[in-house]
Amino acid sequence: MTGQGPSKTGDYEAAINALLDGELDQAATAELKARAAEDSQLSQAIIDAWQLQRGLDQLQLERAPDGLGRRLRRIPRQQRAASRGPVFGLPRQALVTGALAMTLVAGVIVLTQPVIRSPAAPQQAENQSGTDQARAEQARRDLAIAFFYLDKAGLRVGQRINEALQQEVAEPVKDTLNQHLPYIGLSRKEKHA
Amino acid sequence: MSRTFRRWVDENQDQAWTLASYLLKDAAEAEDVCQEAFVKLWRHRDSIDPLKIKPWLMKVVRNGCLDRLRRRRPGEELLENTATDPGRGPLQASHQHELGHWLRRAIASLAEPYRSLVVLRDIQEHSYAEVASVLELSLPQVKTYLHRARKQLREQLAEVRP
Repeated sequence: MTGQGPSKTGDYEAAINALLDGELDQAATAELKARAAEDSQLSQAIIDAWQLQRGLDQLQLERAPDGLGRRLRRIPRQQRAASRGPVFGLPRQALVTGALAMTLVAGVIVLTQPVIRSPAAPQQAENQSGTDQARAEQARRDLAIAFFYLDKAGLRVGQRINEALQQEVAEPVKDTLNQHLPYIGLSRKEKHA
Repeated sequence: MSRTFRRWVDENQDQAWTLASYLLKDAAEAEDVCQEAFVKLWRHRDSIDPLKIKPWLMKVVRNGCLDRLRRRRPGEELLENTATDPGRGPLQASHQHELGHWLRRAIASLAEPYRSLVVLRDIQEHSYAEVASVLELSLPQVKTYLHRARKQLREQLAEVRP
């Protein structure tokens, strides 16, 4: 700040602030000091400003609570997890289907595996082996039958769906009331007749 | 990116917290505002100039605080910090701790934008240009408002002077 100083104490406000900010050049500082020597109000204003600035300088940044720091550092992980949505981004239905398929496959593998016996009891193992093989064979047969029935049920359901669709297409809006209301028997008049 | 974000947290969390706690005078709300600001920082990390992280963050924190202050009912300011206590001025205070406490209360009693100005400029020591950017004011406005804010504090100081 340079140039002629203002005449009243109130007008020195900018000069006082510039002085505190270290932005007042030597000439302007000297002029301010000279004025302050004659003006007790200005002198007091400068002293108050210095005291205030000293107090403000002592105010330190307040340390953020540790808990807040931890929360802030977790933000990237939380935001990534939130943007991924459900597990691995797959819809829930796909996950359920996948889990069921995995269970079925695991069951088949377990049933078709030969039973491993410990070498410590070979005699017992030989006795048991015939029974185990028979059991495994039986399990395979049961599984094959189960799959056969599942296939058959699937085919039947498919046929029914096809039939229903064909019928609906062939007879679009024909006597819909009769088709959809359940039969509740003849009325009394119909019986008498 | 997480490492960079951590660095941003380490460098800016105290400043964000200081500003929020001076403006809101409520620790829980100040924490929430800081967290919201850093979440926004994470979401917009690709579009922010890395050299302007601090002013950007301070602006978001301040706006978050002002939103919360607006939502508060009139007169809901926390009583503990609404005004300085004239009975116990800084010059009677024999310890630095008490002087600091008095000043904190005096700053908290200032209206906006004076309070933000004093916190950003005199406590956090941002440059005038950064303060202008945070508060969306021109440089002359920043200087004028800061003069007024300091004058108000000085007057409070004069009132309690023995």
